Amino acid sequence: MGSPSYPPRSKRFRRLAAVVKSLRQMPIPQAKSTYRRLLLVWAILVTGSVLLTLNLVRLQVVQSPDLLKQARSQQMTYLRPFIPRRPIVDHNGNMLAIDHPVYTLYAHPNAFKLPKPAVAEKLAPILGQSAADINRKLDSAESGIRLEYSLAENAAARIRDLQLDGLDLNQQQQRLYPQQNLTADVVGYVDVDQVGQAGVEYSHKNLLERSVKSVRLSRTGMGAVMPDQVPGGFLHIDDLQLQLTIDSRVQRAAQIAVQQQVKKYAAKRGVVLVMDVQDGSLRALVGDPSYDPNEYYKAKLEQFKNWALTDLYEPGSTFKPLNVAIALESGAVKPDQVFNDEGEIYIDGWPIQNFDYSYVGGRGPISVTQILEHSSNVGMVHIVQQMKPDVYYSWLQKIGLGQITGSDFPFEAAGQLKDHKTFVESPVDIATTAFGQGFSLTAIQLLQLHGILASGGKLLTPHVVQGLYDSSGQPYWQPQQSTPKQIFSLTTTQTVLKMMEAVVLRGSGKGAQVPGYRIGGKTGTAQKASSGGGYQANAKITSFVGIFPIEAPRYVVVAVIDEPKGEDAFGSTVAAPIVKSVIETLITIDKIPPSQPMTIPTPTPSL
Amino acid sequence: MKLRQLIPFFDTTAQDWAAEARILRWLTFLWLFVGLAVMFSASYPVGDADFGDGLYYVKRQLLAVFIGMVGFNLIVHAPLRYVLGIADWFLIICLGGIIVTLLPGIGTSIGGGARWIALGPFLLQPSELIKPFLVLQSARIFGQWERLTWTTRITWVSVFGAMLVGILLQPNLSTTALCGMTLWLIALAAGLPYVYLWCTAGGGLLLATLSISLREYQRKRIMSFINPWADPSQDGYQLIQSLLAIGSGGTFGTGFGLSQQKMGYLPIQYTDFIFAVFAEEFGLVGSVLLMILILTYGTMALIVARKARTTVQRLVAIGVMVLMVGQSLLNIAVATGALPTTGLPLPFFSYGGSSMISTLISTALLIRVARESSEAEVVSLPERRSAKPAPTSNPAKERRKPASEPQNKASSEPRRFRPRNAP
Repeated sequence: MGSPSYPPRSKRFRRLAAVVKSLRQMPIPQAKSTYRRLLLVWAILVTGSVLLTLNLVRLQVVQSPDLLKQARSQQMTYLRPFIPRRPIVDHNGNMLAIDHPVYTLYAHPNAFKLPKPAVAEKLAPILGQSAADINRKLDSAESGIRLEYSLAENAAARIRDLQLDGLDLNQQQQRLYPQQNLTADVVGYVDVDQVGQAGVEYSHKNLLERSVKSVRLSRTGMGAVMPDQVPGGFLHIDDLQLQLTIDSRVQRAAQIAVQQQVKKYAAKRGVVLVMDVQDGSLRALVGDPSYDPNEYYKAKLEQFKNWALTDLYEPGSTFKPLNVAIALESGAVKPDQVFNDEGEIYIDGWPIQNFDYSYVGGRGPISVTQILEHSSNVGMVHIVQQMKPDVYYSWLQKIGLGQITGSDFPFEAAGQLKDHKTFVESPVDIATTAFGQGFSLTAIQLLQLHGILASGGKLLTPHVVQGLYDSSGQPYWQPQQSTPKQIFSLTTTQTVLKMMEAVVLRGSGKGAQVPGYRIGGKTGTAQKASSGGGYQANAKITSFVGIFPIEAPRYVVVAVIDEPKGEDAFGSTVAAPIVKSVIETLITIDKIPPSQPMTIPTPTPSL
Repeated sequence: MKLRQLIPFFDTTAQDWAAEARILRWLTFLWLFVGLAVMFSASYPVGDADFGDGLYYVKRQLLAVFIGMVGFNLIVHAPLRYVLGIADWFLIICLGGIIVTLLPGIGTSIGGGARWIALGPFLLQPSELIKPFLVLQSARIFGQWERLTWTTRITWVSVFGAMLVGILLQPNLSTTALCGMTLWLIALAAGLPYVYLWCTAGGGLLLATLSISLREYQRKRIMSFINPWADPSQDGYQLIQSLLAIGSGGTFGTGFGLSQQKMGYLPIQYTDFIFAVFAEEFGLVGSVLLMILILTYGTMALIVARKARTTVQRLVAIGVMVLMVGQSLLNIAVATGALPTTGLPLPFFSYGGSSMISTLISTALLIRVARESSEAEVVSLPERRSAKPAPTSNPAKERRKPASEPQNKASSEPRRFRPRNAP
C-alpha cells in the first residue's frame, strides 16, 4: 500500500499507471457493520411478517366462511342409514308387513375385466335369465345398465362372491306382505318410494317411519368415517312394531266366507267387519275382491279403496233395530206395544209395502219383536210415527248419521242425512228412514251403530291400531281412545238385543244360527240408489248384522254383499251364512262356551 | 463438558446468565414445546395410519430434541470462538454431504428431491445441518471482510456458491433460497457495499429463474402457486388443502387436536405444512400469537446483535435471526400460498431430526452470543489460555493492515478473553 515506485517505462505505461493510481485513489466502499444495517435486516423480516399476518387475516377472517364450506364439503359425508319401516303385526304378533333389504344389480361393461359373454354366463344362473338375454342388455350401454332389481339377499351374496369388476349392487328396502291379500284392506301398501298409499300404511306413516334423517358425518381423506360428530343413538334402531287389533285367523275365516258367497251369488263385491264391543277394536276387516300388496301395481285402481269406509249405501232393514232402540229410549214406544201391520200403507201418496206383501199381505196386530222378526216395513213406520219428527231427527244425529265414525282408517266417507228442515217437513222421508232407506252410510258406520246396541249403549270408535309395541310385547305407545258417548240405556239395548235374538231364532236371521249360542241379528236387503235419483231396478245390497253372545255381547259382525245376482239373494241367504261362519271362528278362537245346552247328535256306532 | 449438560432443559447456571440470554432461552423452549405439541397433533393420525402408532413421529422427534439439546448445552457453555474455529470444517463436511446426496445410489429420494443420506434407521439431511455453520462461517467471512485477502474472499464466496448450487441440484429450491437469503442478509448486515449486494441478488435471481425454467417439477409448482384452483386435484391439491385448513380455522380455530384437514386431506401435514394444521386448530388468534413469538424472537436477536462486542458475533446473532425468523416466514408464506410450494420446515414445529438439531444449534449460538455480549466473566480456563495465549478465530490468511487499522485484530476479539495475568 505504500507509495509505489514503478520505474517509468514509457509514456503509455505512465498514462496507465496514472489511471491505476486514480482508480486506487477512488474511495473504495468500506464494509462497516452499522446498527442501521442491522435494523434494515430486522425491518425486512418485520415487513414480511406483517404482510403475512395481513394475508392470514384475509384467509382466516374474510375468506374463512367460503373456505370452511369447501373444506366441509370434502370432509363431510351424508350417511343415510338403512332404517327399515316398522313392521306391522296382527293382534297375535303375526307379521303382516315387514321390510327386507333387496338389491338392484347394475352392470358397467366399461369396467369389466372379463369379456361380456363370460360375465353374462356367470350371472345367468343367479338372475334366472338366459345368458343371451343378459349379453344383449350388456351391449346396450357402456355403463349403468340395470340388470335386475329386487334381488334377494342370497342372490346378491352369490353375485358378490363372483368378485367380478364392473358390477354394482345397490341396497334398498322393500316392503314384504307375508299374508298377501289377506289384510290388504287394512294394512294397505307402500309404493316404490316406500310411501304408504293405503290403509294403515297410509294413515299411520308417522308411526311406521322411523326417523330416517340422514346424518352428517366427518370422514378422513381415506374415506373412513370419524366418530366425532356422530349423534347419540345414531345406530340405535328401536324394535317397535305397529300392532293391529286384527286377528289373522278371524280375518282368514271371514275372507273364505265372503269369497264363497261373492262367488256363489256372482256379487260385485263383499265386505265383512268384526268389532270387539269392549273397546271398538276391529278383529277383522275383509273386502273381496282384494289385491296382493306385494304386487300392488298389478291390481285395478278401484281395488285400492276400502269400500267399507269409502262407499255409501242405504242400509235398509239392518237399521231397523236402531229405530226401535230410539223409539224405546225416547219413551215413545213400549217394548210390549202392539202395532197394526196393514202390509201396505200410503204416506203422502207414496205406497209403502212390506217386502213380502205380495204373498203374505197384512199381518194385522204384531209386537215390536215380531216387526223385527218379519222385518216389517209398515210396522216400523208405525213405530217411528210415535215420535215427533224433530225428536226423531235429533236422535238420528245423536247416533252419528251424516258424520264419520272417526276410525283410524284413511279416506273415510261421511254418511248422508237430509237436512233438518227437509226431513221434518217430509213424512215420506221419515217413513223411509224407518226401514233404513232415504239416507246412506258406510259399512263401518253400520258396524258402529250396532256397536251401540251391543255395548250397552256406547258409541264406540272403530279402530285397528292397538299401538306400538317393542319386541318383548311391552306397549310403547297406544292411541288415546276418547270415552265413548252413552247413547242408549242398558235396558233399552238389552230389550232390543232380545228382539234381535228372536230374529235369529224365529225370523229372517235363521241362517246365522249356531247351535248352543245366543246370537242376535238383523238382515237387510236394500235397494240401491241410482245416480240419477230413485232406485236401480235390479241392483240390491244385502247385509246381515250379527251380535253375540246375547247374554254378554262381545262381537258385532257385519257382512255386506253388493249386487248379488239371483232370485234368492237376500240378506238372510247371502250375508247371514258369512256372519255365522265368522261367529263360529270367533267361538273357537276365543273358546267361548255355549250359553245353553246343545243337542249333540248321538253318534251311531258303526259295526 | 459436564455430565449435567446431557440433561436437556435443566441448566443450573442459567440463572446467572445475562437477561437477554435467559429470555432467549425461555423463548426457545416455549417455541420448542409449542412446536412439539402441534407436531403431536399434526402427526398423530398419519403415524397411526402408517405405523399403527400415533406417537411414532413424536418419539423420533423427542430423540432428535435430546440430541439437539446436548449440542445446545455444549454450545451455550463453549466460547463462541471455539465454535467459530471449527465452523469452516463442519461447513466443508456438510457440503461434502450435500454432494454425496447428489450421487445416484447414495442419496435417498423423498418427494422428488434427493436430500437425505440414510444412516441406519435415520435420515440425515445435510442441507439442514449446514445452516448453523453457514451462519458461523459467513459471519466470519463477512464480519472481517475488510481484513481478508481477495483470495480468501473469493475462495469462501465460491464455497458458499458451491453449497447453494449443490442444494439447488438436489433439487431443493427453498433451502437454496433460504441459505442464499441468509448469506445475503448477513452480508447486508455486515455492511458490505450495496454494489456487491445488488450484484449477488441479481445473480441469485437469475440462477433461480434458470433453475425453475429448467426443471419441469419446479415450474409446475410455480404455476400452481399462481392459481391453485386451476388444477385442484393435481398440482394445486397441496396448496388448496392447506388453504382450506387455514381458512376453516377461522378466528378462534377448531381447538387443539381437532383439525379435520390433517385427517388424510392435507399431505405432509406433519412437516412442511404443519402451519396449516396449527392455523386450523388455533385460528387467527393462534397464528397472530405465533407471529408475535417469532417477531419477539427476532427483536431479541436484534438487541443481542446490537450489544454484541464484535462484528462476527453481531453477524452470528443476525444470521440466527434470519435463519429462525426468515425460515418461519418462508414456511408460513408457502402454507398460505404467498410463495410457491416448496419444502421448508417450520423451525421447532415440523417433524425432522436434522431440522430440529440444526435449529437447536442455531438458537444455542444466538444465546451464546447473548451471554458473551453481556456477561463480564463467562468462561476462563487458565490452562487453555496458557496453552493458546493468542486465540485466533480468524482465518489464517489474514490481510494485515497495521498502518491503517492497528487495533483491528484486538477489537475483533472479545476483550474479556485477554489473559488476566497479562502485564
